[in-house]
Order: sequence, then structure tokens, then C-alpha cells
Amino acid sequence: MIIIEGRITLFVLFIIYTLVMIAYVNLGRQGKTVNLRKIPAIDAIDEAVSRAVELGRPVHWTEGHPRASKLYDARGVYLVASLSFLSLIARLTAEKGARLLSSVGHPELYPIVKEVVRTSYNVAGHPEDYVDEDIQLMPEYSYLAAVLGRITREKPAAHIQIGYFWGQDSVAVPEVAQGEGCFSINGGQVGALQYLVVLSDYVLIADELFAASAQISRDPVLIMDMAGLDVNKAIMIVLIIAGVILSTLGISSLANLINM
Amino acid sequence: MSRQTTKVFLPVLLVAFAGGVILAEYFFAPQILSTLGSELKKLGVLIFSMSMIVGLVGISINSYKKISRRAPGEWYLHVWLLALLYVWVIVGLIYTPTHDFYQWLFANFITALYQAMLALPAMSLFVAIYRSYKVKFELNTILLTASFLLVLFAGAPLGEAIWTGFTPIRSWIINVPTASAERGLIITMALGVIGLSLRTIFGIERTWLGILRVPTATEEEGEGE
Amino acid sequence: MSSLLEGVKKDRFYVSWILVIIMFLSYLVPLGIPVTIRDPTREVYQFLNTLPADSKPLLLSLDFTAGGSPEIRPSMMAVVKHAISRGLKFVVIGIGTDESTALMQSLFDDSGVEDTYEYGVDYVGIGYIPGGEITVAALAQDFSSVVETDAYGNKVSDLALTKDIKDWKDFSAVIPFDSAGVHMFWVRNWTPYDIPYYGSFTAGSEPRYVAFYNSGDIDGYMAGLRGGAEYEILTGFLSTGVKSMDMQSLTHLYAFVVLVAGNVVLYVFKKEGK
Repeated sequence: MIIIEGRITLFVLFIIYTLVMIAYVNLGRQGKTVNLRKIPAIDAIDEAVSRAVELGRPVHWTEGHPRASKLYDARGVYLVASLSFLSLIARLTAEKGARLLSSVGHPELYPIVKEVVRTSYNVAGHPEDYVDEDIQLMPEYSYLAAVLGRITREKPAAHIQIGYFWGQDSVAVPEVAQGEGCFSINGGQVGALQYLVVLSDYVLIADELFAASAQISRDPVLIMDMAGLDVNKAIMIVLIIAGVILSTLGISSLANLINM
Repeated sequence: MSRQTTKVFLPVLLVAFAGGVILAEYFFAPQILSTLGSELKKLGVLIFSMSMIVGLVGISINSYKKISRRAPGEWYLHVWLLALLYVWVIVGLIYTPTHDFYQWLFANFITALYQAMLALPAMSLFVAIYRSYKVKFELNTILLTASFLLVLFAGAPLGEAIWTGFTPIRSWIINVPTASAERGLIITMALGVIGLSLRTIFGIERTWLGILRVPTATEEEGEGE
Repeated sequence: MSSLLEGVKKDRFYVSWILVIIMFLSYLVPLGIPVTIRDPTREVYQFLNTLPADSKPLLLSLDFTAGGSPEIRPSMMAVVKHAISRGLKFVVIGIGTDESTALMQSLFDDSGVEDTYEYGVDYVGIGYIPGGEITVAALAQDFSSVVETDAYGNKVSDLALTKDIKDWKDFSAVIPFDSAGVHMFWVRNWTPYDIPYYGSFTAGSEPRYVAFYNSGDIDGYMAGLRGGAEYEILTGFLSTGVKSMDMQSLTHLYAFVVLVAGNVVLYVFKKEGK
């Protein structure tokens, strides 16, 4: 059999998912668009940078412990999502004249972050404000200590941590940032949410993290991709509800179909 | 070769190829896919290992700059950082992790310091509990306090010793509402992850290239008119 | 009331120091609060206690960091000592962190395995294998192509215990010890196979994995320090796990007191219009 046994239904669902996505992306290429729900945390980034300019203190960004995730594994998408936010933050700091401190945990992300920030400053028309030293790589074992030290020394006005975090990073870092009077915008994986929700002024929950690039760029293609994602979620919801009802009635046909 | 080709087209093509092969390997049985997939995965690990060297060079350059201009309040920390960094590189190269000297260094430096650093979130957690777990409405206060009591405290031996009824309540809270909420979030995030991954493979998402077309302030003002 | 308000300004100081005092006192003056054994831990014990000595080796994965060591190490040490006492063979690897090799060596040094077992015949230490989930998936399907040498440079094809290991079928069970958050890699890639699966992970991760336990994918687990203490009690190899239970109980009680106190102080502030 060409398709591996036990993954046939998964493959079919994947094809449906991809076709829906392609259909909506094509609609986006034709210029069609929909209204995306406003994500308060993204709008708050502007407020955070403005606050930094008023107080004369920097904005601090970090993406997570280098050992909690790697760019090449399943958690790498959180890092990619974090880069979307960094583009926006860098553009805003360049335009408004705030200083941006980037604490990079992942060595594989370090050149990418430099490129993202440099490009954002160029696009904003302030290439001369780009400071290479403000982008620091935090060595692996000392990530937590290094980030806490940087926050305590530099006393940023705004602290933005978006990515994939270990327990200690999602507790200690926002708490220390809060203690230093930072305006916090945080977002992370499910396991970190319970701490981030309590310790942040704004938090990105679940899918809001991945919708950032569409929300920020307002590119019709990305926006329609989000719409396609919502259609796929609706399909999943229907399957889940059907599965729950059928299982409760003792009918296992859907479960057997999913396991094919 | 134009800049557009080297900076955009080639990387996107590489990602599409690698992502496509890994996806195909997951679903299809032919051995060639499995072999290709394995080799790509090994390459991924190699690239990560190389990135550690990039990181090492990056830290060294950054620290050197701060040391050479005597950055106030931190230049000596960078001297310490570089010293430790290179001591460990040399020790790791000369002695393997199974050597007694490495073990001694590991137990007395890494383990001790790491555990000290992890004690910090414990303190932070308690301060956060005191300062941050403040709710405005009485119902929320009761719910928060009850869940704290029934899950956290009941999980400790003292809780069970005080009242055995805590255990089944705790089990129910963990198995039913917590697990349900967590599953809902996991499914949602998984779908988001798939979406972002497919966008990256198809070249629609290019943030990782440093390309995110963020509307400039002028364009935003224009939209408002 | 003004003294209370003054004190609250230094709340961080008091909260932290009271915590430190409670932790020290609970360690120095054990209360001996009884620890009940929960079913998931008992499942692990039952399995290892009934596994014949001539079974295929166990696959133990050390996926915790030096920082997670206080929480996970008690269960790891208890399991390994139990395995040694029953004459069970095992292979030790590490996926989650590059500290695995050093942790593995300290495990061998502290468990006394070198006094009773012969290396290469009864136990083998592979150490850290990079690659994350990719490696975990590959280990299940083709162990011998992923693992070529052990941590000491010996070829696994030359060692009696590992020379015939091809894939998941050549292990009697897999037991990852995780604090680095890679347990899901094992769950996703090994539970589809018909191999007994037991795990040890941090207490905070328990809600995530209890669903897999309820569905039968995970056959048993030890959650956090409490799980390690339970296993120590079951096996009789009492160590830091059991000693830490009093501290855990009292700090949890203190956390509850702090929560209530925080809200009381807020209420007082509100009443005073501050």
C-alpha cells in the first residue's frame, strides 16, 4: 500500500485542509479579504512602544529558552510566529525612536533576528538607528539568568516575550518584568499560558499567536489564509461533535474510520 | 543571480522541498522517501550544531565589543562570560562527558548553578501568587481559592492526610475540566501550527526571511482617511 | 493598619523569607506525613516487579535537565535500583538535553550498577542523541541506524546487549524521565506500538498526560517529586523523594495562605481607598 496503514484518514483530512487553504489563498490573491477580529495584544504593542518613548526606556523582546524549542522541531513554529511580532516591534521602535533590546536564546535564530531587525529599520527609513549590540545572544544554560539580569539592568518600559517557554521562563521573567514596572505583552504555548495570563498586561492566547503575521501585514493573502484556517477548524468541530455523539450512542464507525 | 533569487526564491524553494519530503515520508511508504527524510533530518541536526558555533562567535564578538569599550556595569561580566565559555569548550573537547573531571565540573558548577537559578522561579511564583492572583469578583475569588485548595494543596500528602475526600475531587478536576480545556487549547494550537507550517512550506509566510510587509505609518494614515 | 500597609510595601521580602524558613524547618524537622500510593505509580511498580529477569532490556531515556533533577531524579534512581534488584537489563539514552550523558554517568556512579552488573551485557549507556522528535521516531523504527556507538565509544553492534536490537520490538518497555518537555515526543511516536509505556514527568505536566493514561496509551506514570516518593516507598529504596514530601506539603499550604493573604490585603486596601 502506498499510504502507510493507520494514516489514510489523516492523509485525507490533510488534503482537505490543504485544498481549503489553497482555495482561500487564491481568493486572497484576487484581492478579496475579510475582516479579522482585532487582537488586543497586537494593538497594545503600539501602546507599549509609545510608553517606552515617553519614559525614555527601551523595549525588550525575547523568544524563549533555547532548550525548550528548536527552530527545526515541531515547536519551531512558535519561534517563527515570534519573528512576526519582532518585525512589527522593530518597525514601531524605528519609527517612534525607541530603543529595542532583543534577547535571543536560540543560536540558530540569532542571524535571522539580526536580519529581521535590520530590514525593519531599513524599511522604516531609520537604518542609522540600528544597533547591533542591542541584539544579544543569551547562552543556553544561562538564558534565564541573562534575561533577568538584562531586564533588571536596563529596566525596559515594555517587555514582550512571545515564543515557547519553559515553566521557569514563563514565571520568573514576567514576574521580574512586572516588578521593574514593565508593560508586558506575552504569548506562549498552552503549558505556559496559566502563568502568562496572570503576569501579563496583554496575553496572546492559542491561535492568536499564529494569526499575527496576517493581522500585522494586512496582506489579503494571509488574511484569507486565516479565513481558510477557520473553515478547517469548523470541519474539525463538526467531526469532534459527531464523534462524541456517536461514541456516546455506542456507534464506533467514525472512530474506526479515523483510525484507518 | 539577482538578489531576489538568492534572498527569497532559493530559500523558499529549499524549505518547500525539505517540508514536502518530510510530509511525504510521514504518509507514504516508499523507501526512497524514508531515506531522503532521514538524510534531511540528519542535515537538520548538523545545521543546528553549526549554529552553536555561530552563537559562540556571536557571543564572543558581542562580549569583546563591550569589554573593549569598557561598557559601564557589565564589561567585567563579559570577561567572566568569555572565560567560562572557553573553559567549557576546552574541557569538553579534551575530556568527554563521561570523564571524572567533567563529571566533577558538571556536578559542582552546572548542576549547582542551574538548581540555584531554578529556585528563583519558585520565589517568583510565590510573590506572583501574592501579588497577581487578585480577582475583582467574589465568585472568581471563591473559584480560584477552591481550585487552588482542591488541586494544589490536595495533591500534597498533607492535604490527603487532612481529608481523604480531596483525592477523588482532585482527580475529577484534573481528569474532566482541566483535561477538556487543555485538549481544546491543544487542538486549536495544533491547527494553528499546521496552518503556519503549511504557509511556510508553500512560501506564503516569509517572516523567517526577514520579510514581513508591515504597513508603514504613512500607509496606515492613508488608510484612515 | 498603617503598619500592615508599610509591611506590604516590602511584601516580596517577607513572602520569600518566610518560604525559605518553612523549607529549611521542614527539612530539618521531618513531620512524617504519610504518603498514599496512587494507581499510576503502582502500575509502574507492578510491571517492573513482575517482569522476568531474562526479559528484553528496558529502554530508559533521561530527558531531564540538571535543574529538573531534584524533581525527576528520585523516580529515576528508584526505578533503576528496582531494576537492578530484580536483575532486569536496561539501555540508557537521552534525547531531551545534552546533559543526558553526564546525568547518565552520575546515575551509574550513584546507583551501584557497576558493582553488580557487567557493562555491555546487563546495561549499556548510549548517552545523548541529538535530533529531538526526529530521533525518537527513528529509534522506534530503526534503532540500529540511529545509534552507532555508546557514550564510551564502543560500537553498539559489538556489545552483547545491544547487538541484536533493531527496533521497538526488542525492548520490554520504554520509560522516559522527562522535565525538558520532550515526553510528548515519546507519546506521539512510541505509544502507537504495542510496547508497555511508562513515564516520569513533572507534576505540572500531569494534566496533559493523564488523558493518555486514561485512554490506555500510557500504562503508568510517576508524576513529579510525589511520584518519585511513592516509588521509593513501594521499593523500599528511600531517599530524597520521601524526605522532600514534608517540604512539599508545607510549601503548598503556605502557597494557599499567601493566596488568601494577598486577597485579604487587596480587600483592606480597597476599603481604605488606597
